Amino acid sequence: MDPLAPVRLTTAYFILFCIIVHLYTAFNLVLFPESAGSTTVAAPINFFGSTGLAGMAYLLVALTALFAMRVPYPYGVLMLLPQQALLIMATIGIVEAVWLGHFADGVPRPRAFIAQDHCELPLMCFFHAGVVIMRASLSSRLGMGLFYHPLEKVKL
Amino acid sequence: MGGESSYYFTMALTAVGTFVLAAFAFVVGFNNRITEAFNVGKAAKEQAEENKKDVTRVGDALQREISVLSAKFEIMARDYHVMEVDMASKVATLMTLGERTSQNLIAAKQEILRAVDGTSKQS
Repeated sequence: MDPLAPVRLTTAYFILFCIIVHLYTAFNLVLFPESAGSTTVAAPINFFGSTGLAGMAYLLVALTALFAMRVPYPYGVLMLLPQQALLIMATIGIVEAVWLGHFADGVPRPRAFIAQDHCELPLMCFFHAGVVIMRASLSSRLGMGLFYHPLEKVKL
Repeated sequence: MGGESSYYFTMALTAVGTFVLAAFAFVVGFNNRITEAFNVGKAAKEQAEENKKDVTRVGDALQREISVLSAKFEIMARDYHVMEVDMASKVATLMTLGERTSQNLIAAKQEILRAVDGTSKQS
């Protein structure tokens, strides 16, 4: 068995967690447009122009990342980048809200309050970046090949 | 929140962030590939050197065996000329020695073939 399989599995679980969060966000944005006022999705909605489009983008990005789990280097890493871009974008929106001292819907709050309220997503963005680098390092090892060997047991 | 400058700032920062991350990830990946390819090549070269040593060792042993047998033949031939002993027994002895030499040669050849076979399997 590959000695680095547990590390690969851990990165896969983290990416899966991000995918679930993004899928939830996608459905929330598409089905409930009133969630557009939230600070975590402010920057992506601003970027894509509408709540529906942003929701579809979240869905697409999550599905791309889901398929990336089974795609070998370098395409698998490339397919994780849209999710990372969306996380960076959302993080910038949160940082902006903290900087301006009010939530995206205009409710003023102390900076520390907003930073505490939305601390998860920037952390997710940071760790996702680490995971992307780890997966690039793990999947680029020889033997992983252009496609995973069909007899390899650990794929995630 | 928002505005034109904010929009472009977000877009640019996202693009730069993603690009930097991608660049770093691929530098790590390609470095891995190059290092591993180098290690595999180095291991193959070391194995080839080992196999070459094996073949040389068998070849040397064969050379020594042939030298010993040649010396024995020379002694037998000199005895035949000098001592003028029973010719039939000397011929028989020479034939036995010749047979043994050929057997030794066949054994040595098989050993070399085994070594070469091992080389091809490992490479």
